[in-house]
Amino acid sequence: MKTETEFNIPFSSVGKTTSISFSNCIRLYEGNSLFVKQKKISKEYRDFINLKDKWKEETMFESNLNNIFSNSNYVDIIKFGANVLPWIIKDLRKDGGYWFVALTKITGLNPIRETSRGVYEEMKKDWLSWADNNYLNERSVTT
Amino acid sequence: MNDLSLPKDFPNSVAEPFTITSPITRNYNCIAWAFGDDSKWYWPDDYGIGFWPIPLKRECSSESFVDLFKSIGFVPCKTDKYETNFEKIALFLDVHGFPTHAAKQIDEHKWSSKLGEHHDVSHTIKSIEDGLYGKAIIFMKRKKMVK
Repeated sequence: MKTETEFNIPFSSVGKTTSISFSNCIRLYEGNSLFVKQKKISKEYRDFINLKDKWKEETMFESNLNNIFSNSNYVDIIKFGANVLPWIIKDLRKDGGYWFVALTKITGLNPIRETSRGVYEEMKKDWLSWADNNYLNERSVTT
Repeated sequence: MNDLSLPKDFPNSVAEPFTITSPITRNYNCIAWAFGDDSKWYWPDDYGIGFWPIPLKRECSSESFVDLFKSIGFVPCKTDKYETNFEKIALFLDVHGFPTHAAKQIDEHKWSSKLGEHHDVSHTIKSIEDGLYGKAIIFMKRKKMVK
């Protein structure tokens, strides 16, 4: 497979060939190899954790929910789509946070009862109950 | 309890009092705390997640926040000066005039705030100004209830 590759580190010609071969191997086995799939999930998971940590750090003193939900890291997490749902649920269960808008944007659903509005533990309970009923188990990751 | 110094978000906390007075919790925020309800997160957000009393206009404006406190008997007043028989609250606005924060007066020198989903702190008005929350612009008071 012939590809044009840019290198951001000064490889020797042998290094370049090896690097291109390695990239071609990944392309060839993508979709077939469980190992490659697992590597991709690991990278996605690391990106998710990184964005989540930044979101929590940047909004820790915010009271304005609009600012919490429009934080760029939060928006980027939503862009991952359904792949990150189990990780969001896991974080909601463990560490917590105002994940409710991300969950609604990704699933198109809102299981929060009218009486739960504004009550964090109740909103959390509503979403975790939805997750349990939909067998949304934790997505395995090897970092 | 512990003294905090958070120069990035609250630059004046380096020199002014800023003391933790509660554990971290997501159950309520600064508006709820100043309102006297530590069971809900009060905010008129666009997503319907925060609690906002139904008769009030659900919009993020200083008028809407003033109306919230008027609904429990507060009226606007001129200063943050302590008055023996009155409770006072302060509303903080950003440079565009949008509400960011509320605090309630404890005594002659100190105010109490909930910092987002973090701790409650006691502080002066100055110690929490000029950072993330902007300035304390609106003050309101009501007669202290006799227990």
